[in-house]
Amino acid sequence: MKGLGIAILALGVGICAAFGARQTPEMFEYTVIGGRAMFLGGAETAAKDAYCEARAQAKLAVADGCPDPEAKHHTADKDEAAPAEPKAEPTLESLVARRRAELATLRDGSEARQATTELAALRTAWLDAKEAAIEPTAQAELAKPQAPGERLSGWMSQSGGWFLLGLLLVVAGAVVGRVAVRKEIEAAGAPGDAGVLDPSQILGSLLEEIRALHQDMLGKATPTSDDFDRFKDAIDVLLIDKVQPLVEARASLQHRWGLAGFAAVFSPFSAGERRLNRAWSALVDSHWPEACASAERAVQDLQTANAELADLGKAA
Amino acid sequence: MADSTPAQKPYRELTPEAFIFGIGLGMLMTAAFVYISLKLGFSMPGSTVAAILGFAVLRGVLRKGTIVENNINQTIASAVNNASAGVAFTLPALFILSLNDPSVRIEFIPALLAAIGGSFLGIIFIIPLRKQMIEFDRLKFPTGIAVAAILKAPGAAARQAKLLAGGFGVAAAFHVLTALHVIPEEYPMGVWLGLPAHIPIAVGISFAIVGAGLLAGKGGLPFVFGGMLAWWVVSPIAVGQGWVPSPEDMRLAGEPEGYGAWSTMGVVFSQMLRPLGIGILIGGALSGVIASFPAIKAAVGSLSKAAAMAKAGGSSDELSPKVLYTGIGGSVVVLFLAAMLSADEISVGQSLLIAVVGTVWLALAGLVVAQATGMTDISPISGMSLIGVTLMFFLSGGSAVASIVLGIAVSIGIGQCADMMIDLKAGHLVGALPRRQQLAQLAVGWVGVPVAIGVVYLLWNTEGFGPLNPNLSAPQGTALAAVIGGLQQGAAPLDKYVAGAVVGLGLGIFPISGAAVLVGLAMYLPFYITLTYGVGCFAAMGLQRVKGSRWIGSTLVPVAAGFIIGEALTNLFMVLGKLAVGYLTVGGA
Repeated sequence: MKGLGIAILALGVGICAAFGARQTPEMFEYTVIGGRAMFLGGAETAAKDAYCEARAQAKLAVADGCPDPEAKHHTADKDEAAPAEPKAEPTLESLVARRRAELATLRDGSEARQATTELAALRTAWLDAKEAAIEPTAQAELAKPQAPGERLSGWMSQSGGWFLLGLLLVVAGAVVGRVAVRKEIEAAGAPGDAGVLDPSQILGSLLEEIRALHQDMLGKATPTSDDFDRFKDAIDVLLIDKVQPLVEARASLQHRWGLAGFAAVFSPFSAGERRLNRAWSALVDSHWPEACASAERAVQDLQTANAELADLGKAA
Repeated sequence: MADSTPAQKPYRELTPEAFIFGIGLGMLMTAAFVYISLKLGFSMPGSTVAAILGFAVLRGVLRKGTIVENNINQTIASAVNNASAGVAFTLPALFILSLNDPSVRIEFIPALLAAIGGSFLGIIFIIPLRKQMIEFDRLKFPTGIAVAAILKAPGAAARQAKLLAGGFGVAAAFHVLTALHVIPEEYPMGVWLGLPAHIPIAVGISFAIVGAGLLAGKGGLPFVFGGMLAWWVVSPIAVGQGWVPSPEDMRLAGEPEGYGAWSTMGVVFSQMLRPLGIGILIGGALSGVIASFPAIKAAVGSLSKAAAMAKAGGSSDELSPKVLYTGIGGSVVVLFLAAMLSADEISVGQSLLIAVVGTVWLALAGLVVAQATGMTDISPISGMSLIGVTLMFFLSGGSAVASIVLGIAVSIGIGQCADMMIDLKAGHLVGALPRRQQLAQLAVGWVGVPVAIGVVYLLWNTEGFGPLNPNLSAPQGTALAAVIGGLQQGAAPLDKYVAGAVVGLGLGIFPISGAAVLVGLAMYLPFYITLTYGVGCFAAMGLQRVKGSRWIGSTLVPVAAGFIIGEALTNLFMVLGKLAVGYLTVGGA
């Protein structure tokens, strides 16, 4: 049943994501304009690069806006980058007309008479690509994206139906999943049944072992380096054998005890775990008093955790 | 280990040596990482570097550093360094915008105030969530685990130390090979199988990402599912249904070179999946707040109880809520002042609204980033900062200056959220007292701010960056400036954010904690990162089934930690080496 919930959820998320990603017709058109300008502009740039490279190989004088191969890299000055005086907003027609005029000048200019046929062909290819890019690039410069509010309302009217269907499937899948998880926990059996983690047994045994460890530590007036190693290793075993299983079972414990009950037990349990880690660190750093004090605090925290767990049992 | 005489002095933790070394190292890392961010477009977290250097200096040279003292050192150093990414990703945009718009004024004081306010808010907001994220949800915070592995190295068994070193060596070796282009970094298996660009199957050689997946195991599956959904479901549907402009739509003669990359990354990823993913992250965070509100309320309540206990003569592991409330109040005032001073056209009412909304957004975004970092080790700071900048832009009536200045606050604040949680995770594993770590982070979180801002100002006035200097292209700042430019034209994908948020809220009902955040994060990232992470998850799940939990803890964890540390440190040294060679070469000429 959990698998069914996941499948319905996945289908719902897929539909929501697909139709959520869909652009409005206006944004699609905006993307078309931008894409066309980018590719045609790119073709112009590539054609110009080929022409300029041929000029450089033929060792011709710099012209037609080709870069000077001898010039060092120029780092722009902040003043150079300063904006020109503001002009009136151009129209598509004025932009296109201006650029066509610039193109006509280039076609008729002195460089039109090239040294070789190959260079002439490359120049013509560049100017043809430039002409093809004039209108698209001007359109792209003047195009504005759809306003956010209009995008939202446009998207809702275009894709809202499918999105809502997907959303219903998401909610249905999530609910089925929640029911399935609850049934799984109930079917797993009560704590203490075969194969089911018994948190009270683990917490109780953890408390007893730490208490014994602490008593053992208190009995050492002058611990040896073997004692440091032994207690450190004992803490390692407790962390792996007792603490880790409880940590891994936290999801089912949360379902069993509820959020508040889980927090009441897990908070002091985690504090006790942290104190055990501190005791371990203190042992590595050869600070016996801190190791003993941390072990004592771990005992206190785990006593609190056990008491909270007992209260939960009584309340149930 | 020492012989039998127990030490009599208090157990070293919050010491002057840890503070001085941590602050010094943090300031050095801040200056270096600001420069790296402007040059290369990425920064690096400082925790692993600080932990290793702290080990060498406090324990090796001074011969008295303890594990928890080194933890304080790395907490402080990473808290100071956190400003580097937050400032370097946002402030340069203001300088770049000023080149073409004389009305954009760069004021040092508002930027400084915003950064300091954001830093405090980020630390304060995440403190009450320590219990929820680290003790109850047990989020992995893979870098936190890796840092703890370094801190605990003196006491680790020889076998575990060898495993850590082995993982380090493997990750370092492969990172060098990919950086030198001996082997490719990305393996586009989809291309080899003849699949089109918009249905990618690619994995990367990144042992840090694999390591994060190994540590996450089964819990990382929603992240992998989100990536598959994005690229194997949404992308083919979008292209198949004609939602992505074809060459015919653009009236082009045939498919131009680069069309595959443009349609996939330029349209599907940038215009569709990424903003949708950001929306899902927001919705997931909201549903997470709603679901865990009882626990958050209990956590704040427990802070009050702990404070009362401390007042009555007991001790407390938690900071008093008075500190938190005072900090929040003070920081909101600082943000208000930053907004007021940022631009003449901002009114008092607008400034108040910006401060309050910015604070609320910082809290929510900080939660998202902390959760995402906890589950995957990946922080969507730029995405969350982008939303913050967009919000501030509209609240300020279209002021680029105000939106970027407050964007600095959000960026630094959410970075502090993730960093604090990583440090607290490492602290939990070594037995540090959370209160001391939190106090240390609060005390020094602001120190990196004037250093980072100062470096940006210095570089602008000496070498220039962005369009002025291709050697310091400031890619993140340039991208943010472009976003502001787009916002000024009205380009904000509100439909995607809303759709994503609704999906995120719906996903929050499903009983897998953090599923919405993982799915949203997967949509937000390129697929090869998600799939590489998935390799780690599946490997961990398989190994768990065959070898059992004990083996995972004793063998897989140190290896994975070694992977993360190895790649991070190798990356750092290679970048610094390249910069040094470049500097010496230019200087020689």
